[in-house]
Amino acid sequence: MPEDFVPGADELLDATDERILNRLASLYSAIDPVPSDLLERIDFSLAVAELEADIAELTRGELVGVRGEATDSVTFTSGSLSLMVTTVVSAHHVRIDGWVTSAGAEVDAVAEGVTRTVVADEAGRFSLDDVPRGHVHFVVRREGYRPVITPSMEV
Amino acid sequence: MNTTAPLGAQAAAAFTDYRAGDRERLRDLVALLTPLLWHTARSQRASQQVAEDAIQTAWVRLVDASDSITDPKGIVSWLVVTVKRETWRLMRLAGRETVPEGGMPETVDDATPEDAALRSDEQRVLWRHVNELSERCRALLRVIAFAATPDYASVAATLGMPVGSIGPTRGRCLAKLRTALLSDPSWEA
Repeated sequence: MPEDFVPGADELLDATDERILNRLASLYSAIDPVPSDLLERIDFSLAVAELEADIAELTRGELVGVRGEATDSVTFTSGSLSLMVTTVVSAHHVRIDGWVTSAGAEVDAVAEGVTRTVVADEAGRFSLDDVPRGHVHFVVRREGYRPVITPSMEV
Repeated sequence: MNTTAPLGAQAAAAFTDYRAGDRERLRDLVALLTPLLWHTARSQRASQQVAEDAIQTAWVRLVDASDSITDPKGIVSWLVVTVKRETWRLMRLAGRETVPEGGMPETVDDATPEDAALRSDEQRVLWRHVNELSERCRALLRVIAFAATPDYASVAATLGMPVGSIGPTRGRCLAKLRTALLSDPSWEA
């Protein structure tokens, strides 16, 4: 008999083992939970990787803690492109009014589980009516440029 | 989505849909597997920062390599291995570049049964017995607890600890923990 023999090690898993493993998962979830914003950051990294996009920087405004009825404007910039958005919040949805320095650019608002797309008018203005509350980031597409992706903001 | 299906089967389905062009399924996949990957990294004594970086890197590599992955059923193992290697690489880098102050990076192994996170008596009993195991066993059980029974064997094999060639056998680590718990009158069985 090998020195490291443990009785029962060669038996098939049963319901008791499953219960123990489930309790273990609960235990580790309690003492070392996945950081609450990790999924959001992974989704963002993946969006950047998939689009081979440039990342815009926040140049004005706040990304978090915006829970009032209307926000001050938030501005993102990447190279020659700027994107300014303001939000108006209702119970479950948010209206986003925006302006982008590129007439006719296509703007995606990517929220959790849903993407809304709009084309900016000849003045660069656009409006999206029914974006769900939560985290949202924007992707701007223009002819002849790489897509630009913004960090995600809370609306 | 059938949430009672094995993790590996759910992951394969989501990955197949994603490759067919349904981008939302990538989010599903991330939500489904990140807890397993988090505990894979943290069971190697990675700091929170290293764990987060390793997991993000693994996901980005999966997207980059998605066209060359021939067997969607293998992506759970693929991600676990990638996270584990990336965790080691980052920990080696960190070890070279900085002198650790106060020893090892933060890990849950430093938690005590009195910690506020352990709310119930049951969790304290379980934690006590888990801490009687070897570090290797703790690391293995911590990861497979997030893999669910049908995937137990493949994940354990991925971690270099095969648990039986004919079926999902209990393995030495779980057998030890089970024996300890079942002989403890304060464990409800």
